[in-house]
This record gives sequence, C-alpha cells and structure tokens, in this order.
Amino acid sequence: MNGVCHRDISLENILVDESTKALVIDLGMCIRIPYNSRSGIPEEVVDVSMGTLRKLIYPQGQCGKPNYISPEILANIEPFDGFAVDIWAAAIVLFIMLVGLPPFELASHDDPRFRLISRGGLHQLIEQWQRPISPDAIDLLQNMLNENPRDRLSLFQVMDHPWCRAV
Amino acid sequence: MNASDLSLTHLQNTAASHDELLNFGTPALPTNFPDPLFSAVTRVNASVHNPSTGETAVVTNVFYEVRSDGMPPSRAYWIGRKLKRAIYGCVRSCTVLRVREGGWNGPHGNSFWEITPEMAAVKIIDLSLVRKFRGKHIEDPLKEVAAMQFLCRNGAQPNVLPCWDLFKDDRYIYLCMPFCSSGELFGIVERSGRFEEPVARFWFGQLLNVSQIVNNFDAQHLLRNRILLLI
Repeated sequence: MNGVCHRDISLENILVDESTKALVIDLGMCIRIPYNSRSGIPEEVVDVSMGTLRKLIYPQGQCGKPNYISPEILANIEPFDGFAVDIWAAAIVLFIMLVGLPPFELASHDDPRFRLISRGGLHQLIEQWQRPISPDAIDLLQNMLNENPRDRLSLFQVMDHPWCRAV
Repeated sequence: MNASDLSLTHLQNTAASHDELLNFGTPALPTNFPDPLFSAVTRVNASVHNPSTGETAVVTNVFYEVRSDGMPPSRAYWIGRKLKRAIYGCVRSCTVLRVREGGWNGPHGNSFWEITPEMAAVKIIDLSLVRKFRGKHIEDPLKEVAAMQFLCRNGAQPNVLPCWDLFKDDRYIYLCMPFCSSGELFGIVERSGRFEEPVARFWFGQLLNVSQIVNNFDAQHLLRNRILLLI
C-alpha cells in the first residue's frame, strides 16, 4: 500500500510502451500522504498501512505544470487533499485527450476560460470551440474541475461515473 | 489488520469528501519516504557480442551492479543516445546486455557480454549539480529515486514506470528503467489532434489505475463488490 500523491500528473509524464501500456513517470514531486492514527489523538500521524482515513496536508508550495495545477495548489493557502490535486490534473489530461487543447492556461480567476468553467460553463467552452464531446464527458469534466475541492468528484465517484463505466 | 478491513478503509479513502477529512483529523505535513538504497556500480569498456550479426566488439560506457556475492548482475547497460535533458543531468537510452554463457570473470574482470532485445532508459544524475542546487529548487532528484524505490518495493506497479536498478558511484546516480518505445502520451494526442471517446477512455482508465496503485486501492474489485461492502 502506498498512500502517495503524485502532484505532477500530465500528458508529458505518461509514457507509452510498445504494448500500449501507459506508465506514469517523474515522481520528483511525489509526497507521502499522512494518515490519522487509531489512537484518537488528532495530531498523531501514521502512514497508509494502518488502514485509517488520510489527513489534509499543509500547503507545500506550488508545483506541477501550469496547465495542470489545481486552484488550491496555486493558491497555496489552505490545507489540501492529496487525492483531489491528482484528480484535478487527471481531469486536465482527459480534457486535452477529448478536446485537443487544455481548458485554460492557469486555474486562476485572471484566466477568463477558468472563470467560465468555474461558473459551470464547460459546455459553453466546448460549443465555442466547436469540438463536440458527449454529455457524459462534459458532466464528468465539469465535476472533476470544480474549483472548490469540497465539490470535486472523489476518485470513487470518477470511477463510478457513467462515462468511465461505459463499455 | 486483515485484508477486508484494509479494503474497506481504501474504499473509505477513495470515497471520502474534503469535509470528512477536515472533520476527522487535523492537517499534517507529508511523511518522508525511506532513504533510497543504492547498489555499487562499475563503468567499464566491455566486449559485447551481437547475436543477430555474429559480431563482437569492445565498446565503452557499459555499467552494471557490483554484487557483494560476486555473482553476475541480471542486466548490464550499454549507454546510448541522449533522450532528454534534465535539471540534474540527462536521460539516455541503453541497450541491455547479459553475460554470455561462461563469460563471467567476476565483477572486476573482463567479462563477455551479449546484446538482448531489451532497451532501458537511464536517468543519470550528476551529484555535483545535486549538491549545488540543494534546497534551491523544488525538484529534488533524491526524493524522486526514494519515491520510485518505495513504489517498487513490492514489485512493479501496473501503471507506474518501474525502477530496475538504482546505482551510485562517486559522481553519479544511475536510475535504470524500462525504455518506453512509443514515447509520451502527449505526442500521441498531438499527432491525432484529439481522441475518440473510447480511445480517451482506454488511456484514462490506465491513469485511474495509477491513482489506485498510488493509493493502493483495488477499485475494480471493490466496485464489483461495493454493495456487499456497504451493507
């Protein structure tokens, strides 16, 4: 068991071997996620092997490629969830695969396309660009790209999403 | 802790909301990876046989593990072209060699090698640059090798590039990995413009598999059994 957050997921950091297997590389930004101890003492930290719920992580600085950095890592103020930042980057990977372009330059309100998606307008962006994708794909991307990590899909919800479950 | 308890907590971790994490415990700093373990290495001129042409030649820049038991290494690496520059050095392709039958003369003798079909990529990290940039750059190559070795400690993970060998000598760290002949997924997307949805799903599924590995969560298994688990 690993309990590791990659923090630098991108299309450049996924290599493909001769049998079309995708392999993630560049673990230089990886961090080990802290987990709650079973003792009930809230400050106590253990690793993933105790089978407990993970903790949020104090800000660790901005990292990752500009297109892929989540808003909370960019802001670098609040404790973040190690899973949620990788989910965000995975959404950018999926967006680029489906649309052929990154959704925005930076997950910042200075970026008009980020503002549009934060308002729930991902479908409008897709219409403007005239690169149609399925309604399920739009729904999945919009909910993975929720600015507030509280509202972002969990890994479970992503895997359980109709777009991912379609055969 | 039995396997089903762990599966259940993996499920909980995978499904947990931000608020649950916030309410359950206080935030913390990340924990450290165990220090990486480096093997001893030697870099030699070696006699290499090419089975497909029948030729044998002495080549430079072959390196391999010096095992303390004196046995031959499972792979030797013949350094080839530069694939990529990195902050602390570069990544080069390598031809993987093995000892020819009866060709082993000890780790410091002149052994006889032959070419295998296997290719490797080796990240060569210059230790003088590591010392120079220590603490000045967010990317720490020693952390990368520690993370890679940690993730490989129970064997290769399905969608994380594994580490075959990790060596250190006076000047360099050598991080040896399989060579991925199809390059970056980025290049494949770029050449296609964009993917049809089933193609994107194929790659995205593998990326989710990484999340499972990185968090060690057997999602497909649990998704199949989730109703059982949740009752």
